Amino acid sequence: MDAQKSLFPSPYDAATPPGAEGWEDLYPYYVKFQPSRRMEEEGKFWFCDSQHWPTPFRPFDMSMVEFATKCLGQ
Amino acid sequence: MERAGHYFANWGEMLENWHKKVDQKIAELSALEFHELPDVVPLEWITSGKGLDNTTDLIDSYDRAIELIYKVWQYHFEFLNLGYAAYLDFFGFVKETFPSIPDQAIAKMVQGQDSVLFRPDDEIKKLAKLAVELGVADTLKSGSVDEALAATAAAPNGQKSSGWKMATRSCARPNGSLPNATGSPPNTAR
Repeated sequence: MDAQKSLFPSPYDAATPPGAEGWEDLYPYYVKFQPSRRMEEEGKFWFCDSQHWPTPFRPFDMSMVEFATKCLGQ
Repeated sequence: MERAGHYFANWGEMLENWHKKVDQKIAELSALEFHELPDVVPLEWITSGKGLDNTTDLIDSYDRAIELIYKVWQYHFEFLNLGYAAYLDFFGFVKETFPSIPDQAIAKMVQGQDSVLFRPDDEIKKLAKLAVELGVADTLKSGSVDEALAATAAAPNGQKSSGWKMATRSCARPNGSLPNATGSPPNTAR
């Protein structure tokens, strides 16, 4: 939470940590924020669910995210 | 209500069956074996004309693991969303009946629910307190799990601290792995 703006920081503004450059290439497009959808996504309420997912997903573990989101909506 | 209603009407029986289904999947997952690949396949695989190499079993087990996880995720949400829906329904009913009631008061009405989902966190807290009580907290914080447990057993309080090890084992799964405190992926340690 940003005390100045009372908003969560935008994922589009998140800086890549040193050493993690190029991380985007390890993940499929559909799990990443798309610049072309920025207007639409920033117009919605969203938050980082760090209670359930406290650490970044390794590319190898992405099937867990896919299963979780698919099964949640089944 | 024909579908969700069936679950609500038969909750106890269906939940009991859910535990059986999930325990079965965990057992199947734990039984999977992954072996290091050899330099060459056994000679009899050549002479018998088997025509396959050891990566076959490796890939079969990998596929099976992914398949089992997918099933467990489905079981995870089989009851979860129904629980939330029931709470939302209850929340709406209470708000309508007592318009001035605070949200927190409604939340308090369902607190204390005994769920296996909270068990790992409860166990970790119990173990942490026990470690402090036995004076082995610092020992437990260094090295790998095996190293830490071995050092704990050898600590001055060794005799008593074996209680910590036993407690660890008592909440560990049969395969020796410890529950994941975040509860995600769903943890069914009981």
